[in-house]
Amino acid sequence: MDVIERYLEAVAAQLSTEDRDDIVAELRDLILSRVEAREEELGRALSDEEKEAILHEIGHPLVVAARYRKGPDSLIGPELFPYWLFGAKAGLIVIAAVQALGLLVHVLGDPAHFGQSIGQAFNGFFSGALTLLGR
Amino acid sequence: MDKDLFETMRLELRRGSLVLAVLACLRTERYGYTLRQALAADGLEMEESTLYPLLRRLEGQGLLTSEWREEEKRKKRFYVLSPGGEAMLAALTDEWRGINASLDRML
Repeated sequence: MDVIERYLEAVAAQLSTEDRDDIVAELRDLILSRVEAREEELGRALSDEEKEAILHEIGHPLVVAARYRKGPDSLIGPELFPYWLFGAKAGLIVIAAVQALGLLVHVLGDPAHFGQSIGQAFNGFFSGALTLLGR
Repeated sequence: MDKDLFETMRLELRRGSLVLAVLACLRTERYGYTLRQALAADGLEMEESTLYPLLRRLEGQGLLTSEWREEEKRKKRFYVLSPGGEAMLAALTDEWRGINASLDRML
């Protein structure tokens, strides 16, 4: 297969199915237009290396496809981030409070296993925090 | 001066004006490749990877209309300003002139 078709397949793989064909058709026309313009300039057909050079200029398939993707790239965009941060902090405080209360009850009920209780509280806090913040 | 910082700030500065340039250029119907050439001819070089997604976005916003048509052996997608796009271009042009005039006084 031609380098250009391989390149287009690599871009297509990253696009959503609904507008994949449309974007790829437009990209193909753009690339072929550039190739033809260059061939006209040189008065001969381009080698694979020269075609690759044009593809290089257009960009890595992953980057090119990413520009077409709708919506923000990040999971939590800058507009939502302050709300997220507030929620995350509040959540962490709640988890810490619950674990501290649990620790207190444990220690009062069974002072002999103080160390174990502390360990359990930390464990509870960290696993809770990880769940809250997400992977 | 910090070169990288300059590059970031330059891109920020250009981003909005490129939209204006694309809208202005599409008062005449063109397809992507010729649009890019027209922009370059007026001194605005724009990367394909920026231009093409921008065209789709502007179309999605109803400022451009597009049509696939056969020309020079291949089907090409032609873009042109929609009526809404013309109104937007006029309003943005006023805004641009205003900003320019203010900056000219300050710089």
